[in-house]
Amino acid sequence: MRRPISETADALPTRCCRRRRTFILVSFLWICLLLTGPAKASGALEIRAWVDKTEATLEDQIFLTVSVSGQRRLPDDLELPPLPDFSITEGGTSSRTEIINGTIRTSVEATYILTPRHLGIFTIGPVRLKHKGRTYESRPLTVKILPAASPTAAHPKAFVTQQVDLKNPFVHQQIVYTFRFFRRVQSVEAQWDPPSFQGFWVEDLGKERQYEKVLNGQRYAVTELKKALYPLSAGPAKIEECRLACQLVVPRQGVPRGMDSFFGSSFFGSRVQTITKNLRGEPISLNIRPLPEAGRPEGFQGLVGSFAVQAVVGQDRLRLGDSTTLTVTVTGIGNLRDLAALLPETIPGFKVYPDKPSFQAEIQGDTLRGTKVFKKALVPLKAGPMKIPPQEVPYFDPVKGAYRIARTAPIPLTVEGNGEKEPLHLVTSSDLAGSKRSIKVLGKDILPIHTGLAGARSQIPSKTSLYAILAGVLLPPCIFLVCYGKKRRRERLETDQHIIRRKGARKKANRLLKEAKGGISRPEDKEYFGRLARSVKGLIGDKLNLNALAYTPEEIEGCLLGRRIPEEDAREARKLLEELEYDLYVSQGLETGERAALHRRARRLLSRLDKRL
Amino acid sequence: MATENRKERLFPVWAILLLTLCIPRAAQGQDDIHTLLFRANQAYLDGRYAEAAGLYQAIVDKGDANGHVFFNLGNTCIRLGEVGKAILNYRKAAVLLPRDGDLKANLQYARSLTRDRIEGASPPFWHALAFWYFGMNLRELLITFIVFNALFWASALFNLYRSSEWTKWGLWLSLVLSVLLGISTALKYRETFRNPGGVVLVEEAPVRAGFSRNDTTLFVLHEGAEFTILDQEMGWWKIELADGKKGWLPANAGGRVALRLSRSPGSKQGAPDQRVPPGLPQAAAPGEP
Repeated sequence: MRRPISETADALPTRCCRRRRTFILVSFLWICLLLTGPAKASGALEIRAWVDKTEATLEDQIFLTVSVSGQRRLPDDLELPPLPDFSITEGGTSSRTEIINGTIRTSVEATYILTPRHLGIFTIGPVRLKHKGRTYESRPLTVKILPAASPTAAHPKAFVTQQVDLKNPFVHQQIVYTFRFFRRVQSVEAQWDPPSFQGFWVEDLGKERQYEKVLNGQRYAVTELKKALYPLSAGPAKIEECRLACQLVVPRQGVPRGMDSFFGSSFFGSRVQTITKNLRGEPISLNIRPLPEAGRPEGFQGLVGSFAVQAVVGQDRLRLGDSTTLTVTVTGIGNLRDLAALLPETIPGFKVYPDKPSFQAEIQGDTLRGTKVFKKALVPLKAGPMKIPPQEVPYFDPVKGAYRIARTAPIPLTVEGNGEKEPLHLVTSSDLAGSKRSIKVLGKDILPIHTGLAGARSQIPSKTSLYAILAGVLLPPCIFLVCYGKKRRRERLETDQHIIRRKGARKKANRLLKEAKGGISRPEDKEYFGRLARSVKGLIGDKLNLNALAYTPEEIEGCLLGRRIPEEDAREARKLLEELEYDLYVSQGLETGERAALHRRARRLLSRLDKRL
Repeated sequence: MATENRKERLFPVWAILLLTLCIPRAAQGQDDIHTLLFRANQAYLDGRYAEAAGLYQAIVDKGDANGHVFFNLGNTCIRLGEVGKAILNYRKAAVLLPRDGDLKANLQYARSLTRDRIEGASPPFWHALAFWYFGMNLRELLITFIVFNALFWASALFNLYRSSEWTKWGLWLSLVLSVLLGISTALKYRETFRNPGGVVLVEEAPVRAGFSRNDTTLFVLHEGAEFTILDQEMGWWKIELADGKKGWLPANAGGRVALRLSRSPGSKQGAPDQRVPPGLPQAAAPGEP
C-alpha cells in the first residue's frame, strides 16, 4: 500500500521522538536497577556449599562449590575448612545477577577441585565468612572415598601401571622402569606426575611409544614410557606411586542415540562429556643387593653390567720422538658413564698423554648401551720392538654374579731409532703447501707458578686500613660541608641588613663622636649636641635594627629595658639624650668643661651599650 | 679584610689537596712473608711439592690473602694430585686476580681433570656490560670508588664557587660513576667474603635428600665438582649444581671459595670452613652408599 508523501513526512519525526523517549526511559530504569541492586543484595548474605558427588574413588575429582549470595565478588575473608585428606585446586569463580519480580539477587560461586588422598569417610567442615562483624557458615558435607577400580577386576575405562624388569638388582645395575597408560576411551590433557626415583640415577630410554593391546577382550590404546634406573645404594628401595591426571571423553548419560542423531548434537547439546580422572600406579618395592666383597679385582671402579673393550693404535711403526694414538673403546650395557680410567694407566717405555674420554649412549631395545672412548697419545722413549700391554676394565657381571675383567690383546709396535739414514725428500712449493697439517696437541699441563714478590702483599683491605678507607670516603663530604657553611655565612653577611648595621654600629658611633669632639672648644656650636645624640641613638638603632633617630628618650629607654639592658644604663641613656636635646634646642650654651663632660659620658655609655647589646 | 678574602679564595685549593691524601696507603714491608714466599717458590721449582704446599699454606694462614699465593698453591695441589684443592685455590685466586690469563688456563686444565661433567648455563650478557666489576678485585674497586667519590665532592666544591654548564655536567657524571662504583664495591665485598661457591675435596661425596646419613643418596659427586651453597644446617650444606640439581652435602666433604676477612692463625686452607659438630659424619669415604 502506498502512503501519501505528506503523511510519511509528518510521521517520521514523531516516531524518532518516541524511540528516543523509550530509549531514555529504559536506560533510566536500568541505571536505577543497578544503583539499587547492591543495597538490596548486601542485606541478604547467605553462604552455601555443595559437592558434585558424595561418593568417589581415589581416581576421581570432587568439585566443591561455595556460593555466597548477596555479593558480586568473592569476599577476601572467605575461609575454607582444613582439608588434609585432599589436595585442593582452585577451579574459578562466577557471579550471577537475577531480577525476579523487581527484586535483584546477586550471588558469586567459587569452585574448588578436591583430589582425594586416602580412603575413608571424610567430613568437609563448614566454609566460613566473616562479614560486618558477623560470621556466616555453610553446612558441613560428608564424602566417601572408595578404592580405585582394579585394572584386572573389570573393564576400566583407563588405568596406569608401572613396573621394573628386576626387583632385586645389584647396586649400579641397570634396571628398566616401564610406565604404561591404558585407555579404551579418548583422553585429553593427560599429565604424568612421575615418581621421584629417590636413590636412583635415571636415564631416559627414548620417546614414548603408542600401540594397541587387547586385554580381557577389550581393545586398549597404550602409551608406554621407559627409563633406565641405576640404584645408588644397597638395601630396600621404593619407587613411589606414579600419578596421571587426564580427562576422559565418555558418552553423556540419558541422551538417547537416536534422538541425538535425528536432531543433531549441536542443538540439544553434545552427546559426550569429559570426566577428570587421577589415575595412580602402585608403588614398587625393590631390594638392592650389595656387590660381593669376595673376588673384587684391583682397580674396580663400580662398573656393573656387561662390557667389551677394544684397542687400536694409529701406527704400529714409528720413529723415536714421533707419537701415536692409542684408542681404547669400551662398550656395553651398564653404568659405563662412571668409568674414569683404564688399567694400567702407565705404559712401560712410553710417555703417556691421556685425553679427556668421550661418552655416547644409545638405546638398544629396552636397554641403554654406552660407548666410552679413551684416547692416549704415546711417545716412545726408546727404540726397538715394543708392546702395549692389555688394557683392562674390571666389572661385575650381575647375570653370572661374579667379577670379570674385559681386556684387549697386547699390541706390538716397532720404534725406529734416529740414527738411521733419512731418505732425501725433494719438495716443491706445491708439495710444501699441501703437506701442512694442523698442529697436534701432544699433551696438556699447567702454566708455571708466579715467582714475583707481588705475592707477599695482601690484596684485601685489612682491618688497619679501615680507618684510611673511612677517611677517604668521609673526608671529602666533610670538607665540602665546611666550605658550604663558610660560603653561606659570607653570603649572609653580605646580604643581611641587620647584620651589616650591627657589625658597623660601633665604628659609625665612634666616627660621630670623633666629629663631635671638635665642637667641645666652640661654645656657639649647637650642632655638637646633635652629633652626640645621633651617635648614641645611631648605635642603639644599628644594634637593634631600629630607626632610633626618630625615637624620644623615653621610647629609647623602653627599648633598652625590653632588651634586658641594666636599668641604670637605660636610665643614663634617657637622661643623657634628654640633656642633649635640651642643650640643643633650649639652653643658651655651655662651658667648655661641661661640653667635654657630656662627651665623656656619651663615650662611656656607648662603650657599655656596645658590650651589652 | 683582604687577608680574610684571600684565605677564603684559597680554601678550595687546600680542600682539593687534602682530598688527594685520602687514598689508603699500601701495607708496609713484610719481610717474613717475603722469606716464606721465596722458600715456597724454590721448593716448588725443585719438585718438593709437599714442602711447597706447606709453606704456601703458612702464608695463607697468616691472613694476607693474595691471589698469586692461591695460584701457586693451586699449582702445587695439581702436582700433588689433589684436583679438588687445586680448583678451590684457583677459584680463590680468581676472586683476587680476575684478569690473570695463566690462572684461567690452569683452572680450565684442573676442571678437565675432574670426573663429573656438570652442564651449566653460559654467562649472561651483563657480565660483558659490567666489565669493571668482573675485571677488578675488591681492593682495586675500593680505590677507584674512593677516587671517584673524592672527584665527585671536589667537583661539587668547584661547582659551589665556579658554576657553569660544564661543571654541572661533570658533577652529575662523577655522581653517577661514584654511585655505580659504590654499589659495585659492596657487591664485590659480598663476592669476596660471602661467596657461596664451593668445591668437593674428597674423592667421592654422596649428596643426600636431607641433612642426615639416613637420607636417600640423590647423586654422587667426585673430587673437584663445583657447587653453590644455598643453606647450611648441622654440619651439612644444601648445595645446587650448575645444572639445577640440589641436595645436602656433608660440610667436611667440601671447601668454600669465600675468603676470610680477619687473620686466623692456625686455620687450614682448603679444609672445610664449616665446623662439624661431634657425632656427625666426617669425611665421606669413597664408595660410601
